[in-house]
Amino acid sequence: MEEMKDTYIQEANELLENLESSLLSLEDNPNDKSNIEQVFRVMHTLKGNSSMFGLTKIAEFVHDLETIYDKIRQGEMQLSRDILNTTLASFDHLNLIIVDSELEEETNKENHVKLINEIHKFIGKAGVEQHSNDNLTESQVVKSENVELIDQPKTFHIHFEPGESIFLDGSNPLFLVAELAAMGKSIVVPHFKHVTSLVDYNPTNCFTYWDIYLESTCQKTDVLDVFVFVEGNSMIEITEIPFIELISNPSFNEVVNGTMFKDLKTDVTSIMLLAESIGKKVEAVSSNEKNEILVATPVEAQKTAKAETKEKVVSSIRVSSDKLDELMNLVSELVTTQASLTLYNQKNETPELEVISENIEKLSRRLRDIAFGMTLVPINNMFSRFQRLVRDVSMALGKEVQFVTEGGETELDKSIIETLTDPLMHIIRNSLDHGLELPEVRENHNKDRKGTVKLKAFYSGISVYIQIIDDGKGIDANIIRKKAISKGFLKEDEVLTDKEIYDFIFYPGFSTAEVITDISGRGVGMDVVKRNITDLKGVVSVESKVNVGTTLTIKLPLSLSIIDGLLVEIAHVNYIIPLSVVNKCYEVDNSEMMENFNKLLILDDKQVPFINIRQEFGYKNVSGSEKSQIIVVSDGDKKVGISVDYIVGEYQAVVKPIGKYYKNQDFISGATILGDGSIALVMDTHKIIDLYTEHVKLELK
Amino acid sequence: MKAEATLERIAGETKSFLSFKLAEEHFTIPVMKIMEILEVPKITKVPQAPNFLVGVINLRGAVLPVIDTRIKFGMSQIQYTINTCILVLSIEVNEEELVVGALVDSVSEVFELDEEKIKPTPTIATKYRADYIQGMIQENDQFMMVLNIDKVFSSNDLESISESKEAPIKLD
Repeated sequence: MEEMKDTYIQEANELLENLESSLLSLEDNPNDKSNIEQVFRVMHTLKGNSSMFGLTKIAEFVHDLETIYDKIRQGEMQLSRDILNTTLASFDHLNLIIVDSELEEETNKENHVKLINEIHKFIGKAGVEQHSNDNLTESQVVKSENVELIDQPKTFHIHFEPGESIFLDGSNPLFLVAELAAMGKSIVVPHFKHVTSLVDYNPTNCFTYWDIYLESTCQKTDVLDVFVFVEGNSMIEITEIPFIELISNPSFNEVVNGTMFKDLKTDVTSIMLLAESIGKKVEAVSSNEKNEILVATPVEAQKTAKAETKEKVVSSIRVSSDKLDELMNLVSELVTTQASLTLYNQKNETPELEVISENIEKLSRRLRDIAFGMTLVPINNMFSRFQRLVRDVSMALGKEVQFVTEGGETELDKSIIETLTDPLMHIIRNSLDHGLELPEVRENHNKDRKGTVKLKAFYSGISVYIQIIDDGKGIDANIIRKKAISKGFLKEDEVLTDKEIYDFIFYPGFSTAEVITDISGRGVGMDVVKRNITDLKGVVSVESKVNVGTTLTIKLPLSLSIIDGLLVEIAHVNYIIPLSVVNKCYEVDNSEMMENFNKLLILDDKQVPFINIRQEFGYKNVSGSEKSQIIVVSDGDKKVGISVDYIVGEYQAVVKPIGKYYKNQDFISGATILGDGSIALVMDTHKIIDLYTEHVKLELK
Repeated sequence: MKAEATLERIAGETKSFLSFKLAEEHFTIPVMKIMEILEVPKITKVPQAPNFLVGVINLRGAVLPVIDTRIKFGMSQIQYTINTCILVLSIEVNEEELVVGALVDSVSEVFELDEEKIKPTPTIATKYRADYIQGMIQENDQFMMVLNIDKVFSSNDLESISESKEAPIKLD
């Protein structure tokens, strides 16, 4: 049972996550029908799940909430900001009570009652009698149950014009009319078609059509079902008129009966107008009527709930992450073993073996892709969670904020994403609170009133970068420096780069200092942020410019990563360049490289800057008579050549960390074990290019 | 002194120690810290790394960083002989387990020792950083330094190592 409850909570969490993103997009786009449907559906499934597990309090709560959206969905209510706010508050509440389903926590209980009151107010607005909700009693819940499950009666106008040949098909339209009439109160108005010429007149054809007014609690689809066999060749128009008590109204009768037997099409809009003037709005229904229909509908509702859960079950299954980890480990071992096989095959050139080895390579590659697809989740899941945070915080602060996300498709390990949420939330809150200025201040600085906070994720080498960029007031390095000195972290005469100075933000104890909070703000709990990220083996750094903004960068290693790479050799050491950045390979004479002062090569009639890796890595330069391979890699929009001695070939590399000792050699993002057991180092070309650029700049100075 | 405090805590227990040689100097570390002893395989050097970091090796599918212990102690670079070997050590840095290979000139023996026999190092006589040495012992007329390997091989010490590289303490 406990296990089942875990499943429930997991699923509920997912549903709620879904719900939140739909709600937030509804806020921007209140008329988006598909979103309202989505919200309704999610609530419905949640309700179904909750009652399945006997969590009646949650089920009832969601049920009431769902009622609002059902009404909106049916066009009976307009989505308002108040409704959204209440829904979001309810959403928060749901998040809490899915683990406290019996409302044992006092605050939860209070909240529960309060929110139910609010929700009922909305439902009440739409005509349902309001309950007194001081006590959350069983009877009250039952009552509200009734309210939703009853479908409100409404009037349909059905225009039924059977095809002329209907009798030949063996159908009798009168049966259909009778069936309709049995569905509720009705007026049936027959019309005869005007026959122009009695010469061509076919007496077996049907020349009658009907206008039927039906007041019933059934749905439009139920009405349509009646016509299921004649749909093909008949004209059927069904209009819902949201008014009742028309049929018993004498003046309505008079109007519609006036058209009887005449060959004229009833104008639906005029009927609508008439209905509005004499009819009774659907919502204002008496409670007696509600009970009548109660019997039929709950079954229906349950059915749909079941159908939806069933769909979910088919589309995904739950697997514990331990199993996935094991799978990933096995896949990476398989890839390594396969590399040995390929190597063995190369040495022994047996044609049969070659076929087998190639097949295994193909299979392992596919297996790898699938295994990856299972453990990695797009970071977007997390990004959408922050929409809400930004909305709430910026509202509370009175700031205008545009929240932009980029690279949401970047994939990360699910566990990493979960651990990252809190630190990121903290950083974003800081950006909003301390980074961005108030709209007035921004205008004074010639900035757009609306501040921007950008969340960006991208791959580089075998790392994932996440950046939080704001265009706020930035952090003044001088102030941090002074603070660091006064706190004793730094000596007066020590010279540090700006980067090093910004690192003080992450010092424990530095953050709480008032001065910083007043002036630049960053820092409250930033040490915790750093610790969290370090726990993930990540690195965090800050860049900032006063009045331009602040960029916080988090670099995370991909926990276990298998990449397609190009295996190359430099000074008898094997290196892997990720194939994702490799553009093209060229062969050039070494002399061309060595006697090159502007460090540009002409490749395919284009000038390409290049890096002599031997020089960069401190290996001896080779003699000018030999040839080198230039591998052109892309780095953002740039293309840069990297010189290597030989290209060995494509290689599927299981990248392993090389350990903390090499933390200063971060242009090597890891190592992989080759088929013969030796080690190849995996290059992070982005870092190599960065390093080289810095290096060149220094030289110029 | 910190070393003394540690001593008092573990006093009275008998433990196994392994002794090894760096140049002519004898050192010893608790066997508990050693996972295995390897012959020197092919070492892949990582470019631009400080010179005490010899490179990485393949330890049954895992990538293991290897440290030249001699350079770490301010001696000259290790010369590979038939006796040269790698001690695979499991050390603890900031409550985290770290596995590292330590290149040593030769391994001598494993012996049992009552921890009480570890004597504090005379402070004047040390040519090594005091926090690297846990104490001294005497075994078969041979004085040996008991190393505090968690300290010696902690990667956090990278900065201080590069300092000592500029002004190496001459041994021989």
